[in-house]
Amino acid sequence: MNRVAEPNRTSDHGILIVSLIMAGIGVLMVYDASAVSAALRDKFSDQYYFLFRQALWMFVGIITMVLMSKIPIESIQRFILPALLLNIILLILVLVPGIGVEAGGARRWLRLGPVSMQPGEPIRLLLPVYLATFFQRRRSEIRSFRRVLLPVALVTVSVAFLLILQPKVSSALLITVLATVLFFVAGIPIWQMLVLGLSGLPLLALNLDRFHYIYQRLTAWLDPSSHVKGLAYQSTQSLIAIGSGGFFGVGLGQGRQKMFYLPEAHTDFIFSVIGEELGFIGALALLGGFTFLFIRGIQLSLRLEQFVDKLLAFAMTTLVLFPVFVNTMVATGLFPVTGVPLPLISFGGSALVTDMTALGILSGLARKLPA
Amino acid sequence: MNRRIRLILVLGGLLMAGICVRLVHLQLLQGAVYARAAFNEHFRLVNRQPRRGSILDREGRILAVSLASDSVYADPKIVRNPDEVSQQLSEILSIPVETFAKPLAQKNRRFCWLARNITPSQSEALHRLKLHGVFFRKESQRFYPAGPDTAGLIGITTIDGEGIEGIERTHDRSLKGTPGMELIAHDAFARPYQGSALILHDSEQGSDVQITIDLALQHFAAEALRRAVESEQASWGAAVILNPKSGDILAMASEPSYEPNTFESTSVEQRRNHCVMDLVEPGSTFKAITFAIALANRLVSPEDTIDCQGGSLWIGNAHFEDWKKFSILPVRDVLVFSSNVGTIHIAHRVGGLQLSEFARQLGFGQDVPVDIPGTQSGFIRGGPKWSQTATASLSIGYGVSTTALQMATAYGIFANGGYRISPRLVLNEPRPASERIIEENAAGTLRSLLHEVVSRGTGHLADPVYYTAGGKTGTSRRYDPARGGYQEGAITCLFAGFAPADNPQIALCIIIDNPKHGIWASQVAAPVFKEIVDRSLIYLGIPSDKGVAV
Repeated sequence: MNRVAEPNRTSDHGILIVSLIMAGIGVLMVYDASAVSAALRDKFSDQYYFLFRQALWMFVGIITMVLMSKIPIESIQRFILPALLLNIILLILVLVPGIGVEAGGARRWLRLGPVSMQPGEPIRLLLPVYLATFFQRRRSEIRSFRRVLLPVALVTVSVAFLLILQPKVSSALLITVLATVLFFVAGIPIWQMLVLGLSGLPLLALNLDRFHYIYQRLTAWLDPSSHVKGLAYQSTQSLIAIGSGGFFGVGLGQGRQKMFYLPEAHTDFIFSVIGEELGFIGALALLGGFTFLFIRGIQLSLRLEQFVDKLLAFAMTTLVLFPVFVNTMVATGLFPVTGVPLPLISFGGSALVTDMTALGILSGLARKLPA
Repeated sequence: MNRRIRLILVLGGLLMAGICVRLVHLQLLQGAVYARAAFNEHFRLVNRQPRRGSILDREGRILAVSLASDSVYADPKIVRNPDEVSQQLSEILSIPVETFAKPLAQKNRRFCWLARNITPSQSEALHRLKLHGVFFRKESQRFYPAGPDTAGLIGITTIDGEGIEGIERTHDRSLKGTPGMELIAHDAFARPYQGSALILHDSEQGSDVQITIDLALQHFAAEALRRAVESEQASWGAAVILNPKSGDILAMASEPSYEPNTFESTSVEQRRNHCVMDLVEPGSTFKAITFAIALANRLVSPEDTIDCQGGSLWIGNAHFEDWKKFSILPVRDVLVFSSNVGTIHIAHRVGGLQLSEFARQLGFGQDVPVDIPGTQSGFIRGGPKWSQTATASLSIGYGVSTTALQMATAYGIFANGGYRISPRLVLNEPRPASERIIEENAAGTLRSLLHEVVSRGTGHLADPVYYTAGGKTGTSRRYDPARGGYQEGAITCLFAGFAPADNPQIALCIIIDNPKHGIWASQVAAPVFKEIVDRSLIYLGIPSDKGVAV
């Protein structure tokens, strides 16, 4: 066994603390954005409905985050294949009528007694960990198309396909992009990825119906005036929210866009609520927190010495922060509307626990830094 | 490997920078534009409806008042299960289900009224159901406590508070008040949320209007009139009570009336105020006018005698008849027993021009200074040249038209000793200075003659139980405006008078048009006068001048 540098032995507390603060802000903003609609909707009739749930999930997230920052990554890697297979089975089960709970025309939830979860969320964590482990094992053959890229691409496409069936196209695209970036960093030749990508295009063409609404969203984004009452509505309302916030915002809790103007104010468009109520200052502070996590995570990945540790740190960082870029770009009208929530902030227990677990793993990897 | 990781770091940094630049653009550069867009979207300007003023009688009793009420509306798009909601609404409001089912089925509409001005208990029951998509709006509902008694006079408002008839219409502007302006914050479904209103300038409440009517007298008049109109199956009836000294209109009853609190099913025709909107030929009630000018000009004295020529007189081809074959009568009995022939002889001494000018001074054919929509001024037929026939007709109340109010005014002038009366309906309106138009002695003589009409003449059925009274009957052939001629066998009955005879407190005119049973005003209109006088004077606390214990 190679002699490795004396390990650092402490996890990255900066990552833990900032994550915790961000999740706390998330709970506050979820309450702020949801209280009125939760109180008014017959289904809930309780202004604390979302606050209570998000706080509970944050508690679960804190436990897993701290736990993950303590245990060695190898013990997680040992169980990654069964865990991934279990998650894929859940992704199949969620599609079965009677087992998967249908809401808003999609099957995304599994209900286990009082709790329900989205199996589409943990896959965001399990797949990259699996891929990193796979690359570690076949590092010497990394340039072999048949031995490396083909199998991982098949796994990734299968997972993406299951997500599309729910349908949850945004998650499918996100996970595909995350995996591709991971392939890239792992050292897979770019030409191989290009060839594979191009050969996959005809598959998309066969399925154009399914992608029709993506096309509609694209045109709504490019020419909002033609869709003001329809698809561009959400985007327009988001811009009004953020823009009207100005420099200091209209004040915490004082926003009016959450009075049903912003659809999904507590999930996909929570950034707009923050922009409206806390203004440029608040939005910038929030982005500052994410930027800290991003730079800290990438730096960790650069400084780690083992191939697999670098890959894992990189994967944990991107899986949490890529959705931040997508979500805030949607909210500011830089990207067509897709249903991607804002990590750590938006309402959603499965996503919150997944993101906090990933950040726990990232923080724990710091113990492997050379002294 | 680190090169590839750094590439991603740079890409992420660029994206983050791009997002920040976008925030600068949206929030700092375009902030004002979006703030305005947000304002336009979140707020709407709404009129604050002022409370409509009340209409009060002279004692301050309420004749018309606006009560707060709830109206229910729905947003059909968000109503769940319209059939069930319709059923529940129907049960609580006692309105057929179909009324709600159709508007609620229009899923693309965002507003429809379900019911306006529901009762507090209905409102409470509906609130308790917490129906999704069903909302309430505070409105005000006009309520008329006296109902049909005052309906023709007070008039009505539309459901949106616009005065369209009677006092409600003529005083609409001051009753209505000034609407205010309010900024209301609302959600994306246009529903205002609590505590969100910002009052820009408040509404000014409508002012109350106090009128000269005395609700008690109004009720006495309406009740007596209603009974007579119903038993006679008359076309309509009118009763006016005036204070002869002040000109204040104390009562103005019109029959058939209607229920103003549920007026939707009535027609404009049914809502007529017959006291001022209908003209009749006054017949013998006008003889008092002929006598007044003759006495004032000292052309006759009560003790003179007149040859009534057996109750028949030809002037040219016009034939005038009395109801009885009178021969020689004292002047007083010409009036007391209502001889046409005798009156015509007196009128010829006066002359047509003089008589008509005098009638105009009393208010006939003149605009009435009362603010009621549709008020008629009547007319006196004839120009500067008066034929014997025309003079004869006028003296017994033909070729002249009057409203009940005008006739009550004329008798009020006899009652007050000869001073001009300017009828007044709104309290606190200035009164013009009184001006004598009949010499005092003549007025006194006429009053005593009119008293005799009631005590021993054609008006004996009008003689009140507790009080002395003066007055005159009038039965005229009914002019049918539709056919442009007199209607065979149809009559209009009048009684005009005052009480008590010596010191009159009230002057009245009763008209009953087209009675189906009685053929003389003495039977049809006089008893109405009697009942109203007794009840009104007792109510006003006037001691009996007949020595009958009240």
